[in-house]
Amino acid sequence: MSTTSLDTTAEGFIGRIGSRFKGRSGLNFALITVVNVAVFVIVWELVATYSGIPKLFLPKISAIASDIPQMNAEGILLLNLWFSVKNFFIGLAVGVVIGLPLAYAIGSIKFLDRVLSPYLWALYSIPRIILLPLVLLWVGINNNARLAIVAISVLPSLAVVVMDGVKTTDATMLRAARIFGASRWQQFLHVIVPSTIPFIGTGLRMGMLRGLIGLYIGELFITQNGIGSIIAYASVRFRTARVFAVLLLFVLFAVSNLAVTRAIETRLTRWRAPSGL
Amino acid sequence: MTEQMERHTEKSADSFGDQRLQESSLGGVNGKDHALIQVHGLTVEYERALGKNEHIVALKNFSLDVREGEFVTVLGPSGCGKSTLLNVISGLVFPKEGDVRVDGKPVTGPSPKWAMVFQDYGLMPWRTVEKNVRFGLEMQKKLDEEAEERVRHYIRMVGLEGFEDAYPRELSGGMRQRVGLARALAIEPEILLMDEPFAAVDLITRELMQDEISRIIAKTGKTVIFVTHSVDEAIILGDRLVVVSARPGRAKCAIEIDLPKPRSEHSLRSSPEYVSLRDRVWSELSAEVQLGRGG
Repeated sequence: MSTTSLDTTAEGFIGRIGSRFKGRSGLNFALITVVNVAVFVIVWELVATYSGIPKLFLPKISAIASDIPQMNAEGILLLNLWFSVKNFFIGLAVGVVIGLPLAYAIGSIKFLDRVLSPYLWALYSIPRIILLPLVLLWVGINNNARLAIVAISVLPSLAVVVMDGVKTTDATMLRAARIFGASRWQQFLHVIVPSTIPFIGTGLRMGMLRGLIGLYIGELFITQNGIGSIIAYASVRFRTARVFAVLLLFVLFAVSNLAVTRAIETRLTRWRAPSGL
Repeated sequence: MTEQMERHTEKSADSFGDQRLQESSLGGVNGKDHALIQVHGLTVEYERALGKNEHIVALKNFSLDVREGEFVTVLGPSGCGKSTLLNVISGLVFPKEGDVRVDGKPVTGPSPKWAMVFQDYGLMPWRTVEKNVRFGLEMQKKLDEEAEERVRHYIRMVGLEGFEDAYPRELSGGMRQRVGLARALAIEPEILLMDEPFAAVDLITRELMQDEISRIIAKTGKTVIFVTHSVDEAIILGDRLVVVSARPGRAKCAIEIDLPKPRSEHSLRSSPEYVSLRDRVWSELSAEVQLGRGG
């Protein structure tokens, strides 16, 4: 009824948007996700069991899952996981703390844009694997090198998105802020920052994914600890199930990071129109 | 009166602000009210693109005086520099030549003495109606109980009671512009600058909003500069109508509109004075539209 009524008041309009939103993203969506994952797991298990592919190449998914408590029993899981997560978040924090102010400065000052953004794009486009030897040279073969790799993975991805966001700030909104007497700081705080929150979300997600790859590269080359080191050991011993198990943890960590940032962003931008879904 | 004499009287008035105010309210110089806004010989240029040395002359030697309490509509073809005029008056853009004075003092930047209503609203989408209306007061750090009362008062005045917690996206175009209007009124400016405020709303809403703006301005006694490209709107709202020439814009002619108030488009359409006034304005304007097209 609500979708067919000719209610043109704002309340009616809100009601319509509300009901449409709830209807599409509620139970149905969760159900689709569960079925989707279940089908994937079952197909994998069946193919691994009956196709005759050696388990060296394709282990059963049940074997992969059961290797996780196995690793825990060997005492290598939690410690290495903790190292990885710690390194990741410290590197991420460093990247954000440097990248975000840099993005705002470049986005709002034309001169800085001209001078600095080519370097930022260069850093963004260079594969990290090429930078790694340099980082090892500068920082030394130690844990700081891994933090540095994560940080320089996060920084440019976040910065290029946010600086473009700053540049696209609505001109009328800025004009309004100035006319109503906003100082430069107030313009920044009350117009630029809120309108770039969606860009921070996107930049953070891109930065996190690239940061995770950076983390992994760091752990492969400096194999003292971290989940990358488990993969390195497992693969030279042909323990494919373990490689997949760590990979699974890796993916779960990445996905939960994305989900958390998405949730925070949605909470902070409730004023936006509900998106296509 | 020569320019020099005018400048001279302004200068002496500057040091006796209060006396001058009395003088103007008694009917000042020339038996007329002294102009509250004096726009004098404005020439404004824009760079066509960053770094290129090509300039667009938006306004050329533009002059306009607006009396206190007067509602001046500024009518012109698109691209004639009407918005530029408001940008200069509000202190956002500085002219190459000429100056703007309000109360005899040169405009050096934005001031709580004036506020603007924008064509595309310029509302903050993350602020509710109430917080948008409070925006100007917040920027000017006036957030006492009186400010809160003002916010409520002007939300009521524009008829948005009950929508305080709605976000702009949940409102129609007309309602968004009411928020824009309340935001401007809330800082209680002497001057209201309106930049084609109803260009983006539908015709029916537009007529309703015109009635309402007349009512609100009559009630609050603001001095208004209202930029539009609609001939009807310019006649219905204005005490005086200024036609701006094609770019570079100058004030081509000013027409006093003596039609009795309150006016409404509906009732005026058939009045002979209105029809002849409309014809006259049209012929002034259409010449400029053709010039603007390069015809």
